[in-house]
Amino acid sequence: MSARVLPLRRVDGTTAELSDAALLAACAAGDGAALGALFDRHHAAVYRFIARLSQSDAADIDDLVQTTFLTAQRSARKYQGRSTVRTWLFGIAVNTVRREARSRGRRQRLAGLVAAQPASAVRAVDEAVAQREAVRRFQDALAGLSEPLRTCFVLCQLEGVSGPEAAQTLGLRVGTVYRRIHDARKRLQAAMEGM
Amino acid sequence: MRECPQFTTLLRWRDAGEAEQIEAHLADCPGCAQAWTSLADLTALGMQMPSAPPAPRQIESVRTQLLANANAPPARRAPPWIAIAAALLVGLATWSLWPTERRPIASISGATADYAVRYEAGVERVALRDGSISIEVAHLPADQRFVVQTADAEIEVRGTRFTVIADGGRLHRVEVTEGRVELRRSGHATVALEADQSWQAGPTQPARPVAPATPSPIAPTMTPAPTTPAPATLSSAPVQQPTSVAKRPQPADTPRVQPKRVTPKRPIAAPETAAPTSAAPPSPQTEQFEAGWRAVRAGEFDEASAAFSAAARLRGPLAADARWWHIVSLGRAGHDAQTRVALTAYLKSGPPASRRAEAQVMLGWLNFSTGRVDAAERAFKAGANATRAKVRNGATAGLKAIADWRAKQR
Repeated sequence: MSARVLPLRRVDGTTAELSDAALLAACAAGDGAALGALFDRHHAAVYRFIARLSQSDAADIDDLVQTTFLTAQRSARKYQGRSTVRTWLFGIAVNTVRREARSRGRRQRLAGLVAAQPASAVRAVDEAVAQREAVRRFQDALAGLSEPLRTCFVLCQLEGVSGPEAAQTLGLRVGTVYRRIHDARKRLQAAMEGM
Repeated sequence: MRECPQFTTLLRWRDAGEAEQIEAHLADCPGCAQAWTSLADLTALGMQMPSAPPAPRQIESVRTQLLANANAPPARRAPPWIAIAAALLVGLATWSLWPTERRPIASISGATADYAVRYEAGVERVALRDGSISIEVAHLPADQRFVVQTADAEIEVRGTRFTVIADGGRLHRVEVTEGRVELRRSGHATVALEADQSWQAGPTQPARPVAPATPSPIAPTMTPAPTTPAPATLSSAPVQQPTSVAKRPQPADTPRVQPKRVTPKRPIAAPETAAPTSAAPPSPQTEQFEAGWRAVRAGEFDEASAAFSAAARLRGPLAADARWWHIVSLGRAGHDAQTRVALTAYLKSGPPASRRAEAQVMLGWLNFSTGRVDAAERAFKAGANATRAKVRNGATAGLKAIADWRAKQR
């Protein structure tokens, strides 16, 4: 085969031009800049996702975010493009939070959180206060869910990941994901009404 | 209210975008309608959970720790120069992702220094690559920050006068005249420097480490140009040689590169490993591969790059070829930085010897076009022993272009 060589067209190329998948490929090759760019692009979403999922304090979340990206770098070669990189990072974050919770017994503490924190005796006097109170009660109810239900609810309902993509990321059947969302809804609703 | 078994089906329809089916079912099923509303309400509450992003300073702290802790994949331990190159690239990535809006909050003097200033969300950053700059920062309000950054360190101030010297992208010396600065080096504890204190890189931190060429985040100090056009000999290389000057200002002694375009006289031929044709329906990989080649022939190199990339991710006999043509398409689309990153990763992945040489020559021209003469020379030398004459000729032409350029510099 032979072909003419096309001229080089100069552009100010940066890592910002790279797709997420290309960044991951570069991460797999040990490119620190790519890891930095991946962090810059996704840290906000990963931080928010971990905060919703684990409801840990800020210092713990920092550690979990960092561990998630380190794991992503080390696992970059395993990315097969079956989900978006963002969802793939969420999958790593789920495992990171799960491991951390297991090691510290956080699940037990989270499970006891609802009972440990009685609903506020303060009655909402206006709509804004009532809304804040509702959000706080939702947080408590979410923390009281089992980890599998909480993960599916946060991933699909709060982060907008589709059922098939969540199933791929979590290694579940799609039907299982939908059922967990359904169960999570029922338990959240029941917990909210019982507070 | 009795639970409808159809509720999970509603979730499936939602993912499939079947809004009409959902509405039809909800109209007939009060149980699902109530559950659907409840799910929406709960989701709305969840979206209101406090999830404000951490402060920029906190994010940077995590980022710095992350990059300090990041290692090469265990399967392939990177040599030290990779870490140095990565550190330099970190500077590039960080610098390049900041928007260009500039709102100076400090006085900076450094006529011969190689630096750039960027501003974002209350943080003004000076990316210093080479030379010495003296800075005077007025006392900053609480919501503003001023940071000087090299590839391997950053220095933060609140209100002070100080001088920073960098060499080859790395921090060399910091001298504080007034006030206080915090020096944060990747992988090291933060050092606070008061007035009349200074910090200097020790003997174990050579001021100019031997590192592979990496893209400069700031204006290149030189942009060599071959004085004679190299023959278009590579069969698949996306680049031949530099054809236009860098956009940023260059020193007076910078050689000029005359823009030049080489128009292909005939369409690009299909690769030797073109997708096989048979009576059986083509596999998804074959379809993507063929789509890539259709796009190449149409001159749609971005589209070609995407198609080859998709083909490379799929399992099948064309994955290796698709990866190669993905890189070639990237180059022809003009995405130099992406091409350079992809080529580097490709070379590390242990490609076949024939493609390795060709990739080296491509990388050589990319490096030469952006002033990385030594790196270009290494790449061309690596490609000079190619078994294919056309690739060898490309490498030879590259080495000759470098020799010519160096002769002119003397």
